[in-house]
Amino acid sequence: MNLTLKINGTEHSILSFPSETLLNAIRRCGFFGAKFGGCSKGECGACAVLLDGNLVNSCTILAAQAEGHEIVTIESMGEHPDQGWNKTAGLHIIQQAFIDVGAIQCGYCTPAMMLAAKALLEQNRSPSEGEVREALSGILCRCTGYLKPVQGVLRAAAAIRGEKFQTTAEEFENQDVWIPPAQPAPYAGEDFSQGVQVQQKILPSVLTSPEKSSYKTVGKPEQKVDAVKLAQGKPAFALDIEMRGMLVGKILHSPVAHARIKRIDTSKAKTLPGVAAVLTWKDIPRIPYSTAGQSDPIPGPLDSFSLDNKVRFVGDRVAFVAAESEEIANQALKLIDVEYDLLPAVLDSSDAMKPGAPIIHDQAEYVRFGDSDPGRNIAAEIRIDIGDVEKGFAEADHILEADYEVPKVQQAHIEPHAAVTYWDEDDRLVIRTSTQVPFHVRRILAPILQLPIKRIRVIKPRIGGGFGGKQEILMEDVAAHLTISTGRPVRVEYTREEEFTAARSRHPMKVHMKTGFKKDGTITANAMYALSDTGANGCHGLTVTGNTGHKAMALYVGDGPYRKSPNIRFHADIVYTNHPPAGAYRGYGVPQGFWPVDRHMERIARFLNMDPIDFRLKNAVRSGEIHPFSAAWSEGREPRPETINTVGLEECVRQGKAAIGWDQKYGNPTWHEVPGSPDLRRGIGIATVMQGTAIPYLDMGGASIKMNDDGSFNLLIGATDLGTGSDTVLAQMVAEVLGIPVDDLITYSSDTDFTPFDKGAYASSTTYISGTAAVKAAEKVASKLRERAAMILNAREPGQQVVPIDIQLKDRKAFAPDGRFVTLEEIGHHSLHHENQEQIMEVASYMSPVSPPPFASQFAEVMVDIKTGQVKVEKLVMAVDAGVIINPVTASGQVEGGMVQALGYAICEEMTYDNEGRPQELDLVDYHIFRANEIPELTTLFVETFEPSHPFGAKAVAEIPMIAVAPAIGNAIQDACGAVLESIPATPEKVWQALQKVK
Amino acid sequence: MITEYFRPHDINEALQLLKNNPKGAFPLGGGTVLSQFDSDNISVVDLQLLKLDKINKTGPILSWGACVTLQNLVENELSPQAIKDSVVHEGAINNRRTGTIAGALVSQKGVSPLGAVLTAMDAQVISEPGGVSSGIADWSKGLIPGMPSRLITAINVNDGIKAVYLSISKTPADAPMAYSGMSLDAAGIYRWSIGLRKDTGLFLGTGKEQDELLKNAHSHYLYINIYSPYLKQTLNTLFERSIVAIDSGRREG
Repeated sequence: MNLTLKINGTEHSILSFPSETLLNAIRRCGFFGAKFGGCSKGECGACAVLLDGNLVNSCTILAAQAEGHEIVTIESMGEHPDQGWNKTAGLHIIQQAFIDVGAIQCGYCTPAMMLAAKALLEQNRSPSEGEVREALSGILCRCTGYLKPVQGVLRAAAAIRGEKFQTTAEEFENQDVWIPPAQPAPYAGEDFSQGVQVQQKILPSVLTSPEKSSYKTVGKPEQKVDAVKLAQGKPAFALDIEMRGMLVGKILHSPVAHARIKRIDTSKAKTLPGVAAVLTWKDIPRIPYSTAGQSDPIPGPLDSFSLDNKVRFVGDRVAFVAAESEEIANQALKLIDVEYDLLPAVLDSSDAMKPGAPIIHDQAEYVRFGDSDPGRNIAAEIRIDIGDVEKGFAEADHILEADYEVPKVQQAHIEPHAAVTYWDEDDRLVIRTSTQVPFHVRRILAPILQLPIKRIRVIKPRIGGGFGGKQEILMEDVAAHLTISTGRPVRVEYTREEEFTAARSRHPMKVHMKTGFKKDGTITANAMYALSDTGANGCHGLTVTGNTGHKAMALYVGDGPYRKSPNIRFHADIVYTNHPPAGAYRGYGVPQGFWPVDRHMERIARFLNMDPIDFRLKNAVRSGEIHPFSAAWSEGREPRPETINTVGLEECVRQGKAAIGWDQKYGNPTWHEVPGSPDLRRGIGIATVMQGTAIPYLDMGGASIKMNDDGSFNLLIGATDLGTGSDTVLAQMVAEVLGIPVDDLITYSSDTDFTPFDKGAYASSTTYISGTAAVKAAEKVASKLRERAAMILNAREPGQQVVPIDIQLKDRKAFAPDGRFVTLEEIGHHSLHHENQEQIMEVASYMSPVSPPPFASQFAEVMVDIKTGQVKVEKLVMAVDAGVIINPVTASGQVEGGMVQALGYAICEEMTYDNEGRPQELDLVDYHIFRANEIPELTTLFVETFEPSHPFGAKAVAEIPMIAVAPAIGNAIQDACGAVLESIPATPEKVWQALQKVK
Repeated sequence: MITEYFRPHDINEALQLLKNNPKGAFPLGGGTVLSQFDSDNISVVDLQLLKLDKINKTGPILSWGACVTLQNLVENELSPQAIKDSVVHEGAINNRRTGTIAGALVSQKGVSPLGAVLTAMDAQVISEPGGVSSGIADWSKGLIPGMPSRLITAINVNDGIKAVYLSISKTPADAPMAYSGMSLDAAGIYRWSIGLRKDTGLFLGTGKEQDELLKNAHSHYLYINIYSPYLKQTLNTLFERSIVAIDSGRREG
């Protein structure tokens, strides 16, 4: 059917078909700002456009329905002001406001958010915060926690009204040195009916490290280097490209949890017009591998195949199809006839190791790692004993034992897994994929595809969120096999249902805690046993679960003599079940550990009638002490003792307490009551946590810097910015060394052909590992610049000789001590064109011998309905020691987004299965993630320490916000009503059941 | 899969299109879950030109055209508060801007927060041909002859009925695990309609006194089949709070 769509004022005549969605049609017309979030019910809103001025989801409207209506996309809003000789009107006020406040992280939902703001502000120039939140509530964002987008809309509104306000840069310049907040006034009642109040201040409070005072660029709220393109909705993501002859790849997934494929008939599918290829296990090489995107050697068993003659979970792969359209591919999937020989399934991790349990991996090709034992369904096991744990228990006055449980949850990045593959003109396979680990993709796929590494090129464009879910070689092989089979470009994009059935998730765990302690609160021994469900494959199983103990059990070493010689045990079994495989997810095992550890600490403190904060700090590790696990375990490699140099935990607690008003609320019966609401109780809780920064002696990052004629530089990094702002942070550090503004760096990441190797974005390592590599490369370039500057200056005035080491780089110039200078532009021209010509270009890499832990205190305030068990989280305050903060806007964005993601883990998110292993949550309706109009008040504080192992004193910040929210909320619920929760999420039913035990 | 798209200009044309293919033609009000049409080859009849998006009040009767969007229900000043409160649990705001009142009822067979309130208010479903008026409870049970080839054109309620909507959910915007709509009419009759997440139906109690109302609701077979003590306790709490809220409204009003 012929349609005419009026998009951004221009009519587009297209040949459409009745089932085509408006989203598909406008993207075919070249408007890539509208994104596909994989959903089928319009629940994510990434596809939103304006239809006659109303924000609607273009995936739930037929293209035909939109004929005759005005369609507006992000591409109409504004553009880069400087298009060469063509000077444009520039960015729209809303785009500029979003950029200025740091509202753009991955940028996948940004176009929809800005269109929502446009629709709102065209009707209401003075919206309340509640109205802004409601307007944004149709669009899910997994990165920001919504605080900065709300601030962006309010700022844009102020700009539209013509009001004067400070830009973020002006706020930074004008801010007073932060004085830690005084104790607030005694509690005098609060009006909770007004909803949350957004901070007018964009910048978080930072208790600044003195070493930072001389920095020009590090520590500043620099604009994200990718913000302008993301604000315009430019085609920056994996599938924002068109290629002639591109096929659509689809996967046939298993409907059963455990079976052998007895017979598979693809003849009908192959004869369907428009089908280019149908592949089954019979058609491709049978190569065992691990899908985990980790450095070599993979610390886990090789137990996956691209396609196998056995299925191990509902959602497992059965066949691949490539067709001319998505509709044809889906029809072809229905025509594949499969006969399954059903096998009994393991659907409870407690049953996996029982004698006689069904064996999930009985294939001869299975490659073990460490203690993996497929005959007992064990993917890995961990046995770590530090000190003498039994002696510690014997010395205790009391022992508390309890069981805890944490659920399987999904990363739920808004951009689904997506990849395009094609042969280039040199017969090399190009893989354009939304991945956190492009170099691991290349290395791991090479043997599977039977191509040498040198014939594979992996391009990582912008990523629409990852959170660990894209630290996986999840579906790139599907597209690659189909390209190899057909010779044509193939695109594969997961639906949201596939994200829930056939992607990765957080490992669910059952945890037993046993802690011995003295009457004075000294911990004498602490033991954890974790039963970790890795699902049908062992990807990340050992390392995720190892981290559970390595981080969570390291914080509380005990006091007195136990501080020097702690008694800690961490044993774990990582078992196979017939659930979808678990994998990497922000926090990487540590959230699973701190729920039991911190809840256990809270219960011990309450048992002893001790202040819960005093109890935690009494036993917590301190600076100058050895990380207790560093000498005991290192992911299967040789452990090496590490001293923890910087611990800001005590100050984090002090600042967080003041910010939330702990002393006025904790233990205050008046505050706990809600006047006029006899069924409501208030509660307040704390959790204290630590994480790690990178993987020592293993993961390496690289960077190269190349100078251009005009004094600008190309910064090429293999690190993968998945929306966190790491490209910006690395650029800031390089700019600091070179004495230039960030704008003089053209930052590019990443492409295995052009950028240096980097292990990728995981393990909280980019600022620390890749950043140090970038700084080392910059220092080498700086050295070259000084040499060249000295050459130029000495040639100009031979009587006044200057040596390179005395030259200072700042303000785009190289200064001699006497004030003479040469500009970097002059150096660029001189080096490339004039004398002793050379390309100033350096590369460096870095691997760390240590993993300095960040620390944090997390506070939560809740309101509990004691009749129904319903919990409303009112406030979250997090004080973080992440070393020196390189960029306060991007760093606070990490904390805000992390807290809200963790809020879902605490309150509502859980993947469940029926007794046949079928998943019960297949979309973001049944699996609810928080929306903009239901977010508690968020406060972020940074307490800086200067980590000496990093050139600018930084530690990790991205993962620690994910860890402590759940236990802080669990503790606050106990404080409110006495309900002792041992598992999350804290659903109303679970809280109600815990309340029945109190009664 | 949608194989044909029609945009009729009037109701008669729409009815003819639906009648021509009663099993394979579906009215399309606004935004919808298009994936529901993946399995069979079907036609869709787009209602956007039929002017079914009007809200009228005639005497005590408040009438919503079938294509009134859910967000219009939230924003329109004539909407009873209970309707507004329930509609926000039908979906997020973007979907509410295209989803329609009739579409929401049809797609969930009336078993939803909005359906609970409309059932409590004893809403009337008006359908063509013939402008037939049917009680929503009968409609949701599939007791209206001639459906689905009949076309819903309006939903009517008596504006004089007091109503309240309450729910329990994991987060404020999450789909509720239990929800209730309660109404009190001028004759002093309470109607209480209750639904559970992912359940198959609403159950309804009526009565003039609270005890009678509760007894009637508890005797419903769906209530009897709730095995969770938590859900039973929660529904009792919703009942108590609804009574308080509606009586409070009665005293005020």
